[in-house]
Amino acid sequence: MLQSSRSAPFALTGGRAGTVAAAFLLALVTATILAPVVAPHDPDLPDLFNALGGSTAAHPLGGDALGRDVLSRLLYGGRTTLLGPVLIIAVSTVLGTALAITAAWWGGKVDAVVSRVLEVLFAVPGIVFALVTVAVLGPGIPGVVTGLAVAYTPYVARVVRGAALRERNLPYIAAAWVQGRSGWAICTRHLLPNLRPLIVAQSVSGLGFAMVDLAAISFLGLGVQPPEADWGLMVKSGLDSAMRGNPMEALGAGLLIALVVASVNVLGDRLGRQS
Amino acid sequence: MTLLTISELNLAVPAGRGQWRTLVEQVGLSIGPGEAVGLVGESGSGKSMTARAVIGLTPPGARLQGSIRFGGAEILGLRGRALRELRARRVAMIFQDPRAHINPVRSVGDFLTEAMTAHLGLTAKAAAARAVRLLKEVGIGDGERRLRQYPHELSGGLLQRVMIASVLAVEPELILADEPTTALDVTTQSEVMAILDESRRERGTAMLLITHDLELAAATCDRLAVMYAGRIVEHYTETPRHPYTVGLLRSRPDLFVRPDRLHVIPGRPVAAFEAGAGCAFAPRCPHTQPVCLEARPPLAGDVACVRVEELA
Repeated sequence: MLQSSRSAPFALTGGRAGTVAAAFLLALVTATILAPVVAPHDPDLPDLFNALGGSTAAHPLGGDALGRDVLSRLLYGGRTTLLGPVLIIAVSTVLGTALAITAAWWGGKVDAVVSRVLEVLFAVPGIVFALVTVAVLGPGIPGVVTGLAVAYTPYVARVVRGAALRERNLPYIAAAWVQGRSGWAICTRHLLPNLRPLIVAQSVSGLGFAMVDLAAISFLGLGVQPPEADWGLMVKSGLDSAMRGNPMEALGAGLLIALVVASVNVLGDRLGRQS
Repeated sequence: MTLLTISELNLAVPAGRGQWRTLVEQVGLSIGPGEAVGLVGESGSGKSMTARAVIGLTPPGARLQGSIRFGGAEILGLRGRALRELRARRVAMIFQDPRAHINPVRSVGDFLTEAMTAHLGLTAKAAAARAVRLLKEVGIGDGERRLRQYPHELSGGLLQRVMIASVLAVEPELILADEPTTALDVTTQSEVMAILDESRRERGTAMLLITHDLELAAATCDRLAVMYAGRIVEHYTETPRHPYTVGLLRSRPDLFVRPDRLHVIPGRPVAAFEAGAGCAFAPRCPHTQPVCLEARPPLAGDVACVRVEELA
């Protein structure tokens, strides 16, 4: 039975690593939300005197090739970079959970069909999927998010289906039947709450992967489009700048991606062990 | 007028390769309104399956034959909305292990009020108030606090009372109690039985009590039916006559006599699909004669034993 401590449904911050990771993410999210307030400069304003400039009081992380303030671009770029994975995971979690519960609940042929479809999806790497949807929907966040959301669905569905199969045979489900509840009521009010810790843990771990994939696609130039700021994009343009004098852009964006992924994984691991 | 009439019920589950495994065979049983009937037998004798057949909770793919009539209407094979309505309002079940049968992640209040808001059309507030009253009825005083608690915070005895309260909430005509006290200690056991008995007297609810505790059944029920290997071998009220029931009763320790050794019925219980052609109890019966091995003895005059007249 999937059971975690019920009085504190998700003890996110147990242990030092968890606390640090949660604090870091919270601070970062707050900073990106407050970007218009805390960013020292307009992220899209070129300033040729600052082009490839090093660290100064006005530009702590210097400027990129066009002289735009790197710190401000990191803060604004965090918005798309962080929001994209959340969208991907939200969509794939809802889709995957719905498919998994449908498959586990009906069993038999329904399960067979859903499982085969999921296996086919599994065979296609997420990036390839995103390339296809980008080809259809055009470059930009909507196409990438759609593709990655579909690509991530089977990962959620596989785990949830296994757990749902176990849960649906437990006596409390039979007891709910005997109370005369409908299948829908049992799924939504009894089965789903019992799967919740697992689903949450699974999606938090997925966030890290989604972020790396999204950054990779932006790096390829198919995700976020310039001049909008994005960490994946900044790693790419920053490589060039690094050769020519200011490594801060690529380093900052790369480091943030790495730190966010690491923090998210620490939290996901913690949630996974609880569930 | 009977409330529930089971006749010639057969239940078999698939055993692979087109084979069927019989679990319940030719079971007939009737319960009147407000009556308590005990169904006793060893583990695997088919007593739980019989009760589950009434409420449509049989294993997937099970084959059911015969008839189950409830309040004059056939309910065997009921599906969908009609089955849900039967379960929601008219027949309720109390399970052996309340901890496994109550959703662990939802509060006691959720568990108790769900049926009331969904089936009786009560508002959440009215349902909560009613839940507190019901908890008081089953001997749980601080209902408001209990409603906020989760199943793991309650003891087994309390949880079984919660389960009983949830059953009383819908005021069913028939309660199927599947070993309601087996998971509880002896003192809690008698309290829980007293609650069930009281609610039966007050509300006129009929009850089918499934147990392997003969004393408990005899103390609570108007009539007893004894099952062995998927069949009812005897219906009795006071004195049993079937060699199996007699053997069971002899196997109990006596309160006043200190016996050297307890009486045992030799051999082990068999399931319906393991039994040979004759009387299923014949291999263990002290009175077996060749005639016993010829055919399954029919339930004649409440006892399924061909030699019952000679043995009396």
